[in-house]
Amino acid sequence: MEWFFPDDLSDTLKLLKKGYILHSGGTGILMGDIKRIKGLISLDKLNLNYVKKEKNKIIIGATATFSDVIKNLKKIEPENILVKAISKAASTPLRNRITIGGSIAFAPLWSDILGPLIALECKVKVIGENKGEYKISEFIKSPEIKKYSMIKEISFDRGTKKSAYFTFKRTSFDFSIFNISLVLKDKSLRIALWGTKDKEKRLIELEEFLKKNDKFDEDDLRRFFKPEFHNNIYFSKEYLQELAMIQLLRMLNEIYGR
Amino acid sequence: MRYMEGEFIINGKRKVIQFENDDLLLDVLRNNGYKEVKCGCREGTCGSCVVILDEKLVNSCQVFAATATGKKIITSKGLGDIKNPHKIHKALVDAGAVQCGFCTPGMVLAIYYLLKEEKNPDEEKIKEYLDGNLCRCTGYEKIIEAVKSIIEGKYG
Repeated sequence: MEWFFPDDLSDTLKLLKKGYILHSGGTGILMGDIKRIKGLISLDKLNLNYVKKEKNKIIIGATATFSDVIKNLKKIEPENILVKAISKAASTPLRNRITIGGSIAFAPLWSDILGPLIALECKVKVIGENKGEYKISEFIKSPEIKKYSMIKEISFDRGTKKSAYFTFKRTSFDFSIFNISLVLKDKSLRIALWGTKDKEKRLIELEEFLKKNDKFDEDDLRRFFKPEFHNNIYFSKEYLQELAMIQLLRMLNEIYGR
Repeated sequence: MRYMEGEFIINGKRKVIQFENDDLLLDVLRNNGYKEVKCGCREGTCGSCVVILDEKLVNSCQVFAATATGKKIITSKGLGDIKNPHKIHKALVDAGAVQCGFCTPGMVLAIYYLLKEEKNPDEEKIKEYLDGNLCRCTGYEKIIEAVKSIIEGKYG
């Protein structure tokens, strides 16, 4: 295995074209067979670890760690769902290594960050062969975008009024089995579920229903909320569905102050 | 197998070390005499291998050594030793928070990191910062007591 430490993005992209793999936090890479890796490109020198606000947007660089995001986003928008979600992810030393870009590129089923980013309607800025700005759902569903390309940063609109996050884990340090993200901006509520059979689900029908209806009950939610989970070795999919349903109801009541 | 050579700044001392390209920082440290950095799970879950890397608490089993060259690394022995223990060492011993001792070097650094980052942490904050350090012996109560005694000023 070879190591490369490029100073700028154009050198990084040239190395990507040779089939080498990007490395920022590296915790995802270590889960695989590192002996098969031809070469790793360290992103350390590229200064992509920023968290900043620009006009009405929040922009986070690809190599910003979870700790960087919590610390800096708390100052800009303390109610932001990412602060709540990431604070519950992994552990202190791991939050100092896991990066935003790595999490999105890897997109594991146990991610605590992707549901919130979907609810935030985050955009992913990609450079390289597939240069462009992609909606996060599109990026996750299209692995071909990553070919000879890399995530430079993500962005989403400021202005979160309220948010709620629930993650179901066996223990506080465990991987997330599923999570639910609610983000209220202006008067519109966004609801995202992560950890389903399709990995993610944005509950657009339910969002539309809630826009038009001030009152709702469990029966209303059941009409629109039919998540499909895999059977887990510890929990049946029926149990997970029921649990997700009850949690969603509680979170909605919390958001609407009931 | 490919080898690299890099300079590490470990507990304030510069050391040039040769290592394999895919070596973890954990292995490089242990193979070069820093046995206080313990090898537990090698998965980033137990916390026995944590070090301070450029002022951040990290699992050394989750860091490639190649990315740690030129950076400052602190291990438990960098804070103090048997002749001149750090207040964290003293507090843990005084509180009876050391049984087998395997988790202790990692706990020391997690506590060090907590006290550096937070002015006046409450119990919830203490648990948050120590959430990556497992202990099979003590049940954590004595460890938390030790941290509280430092915060209360018992050790200056």
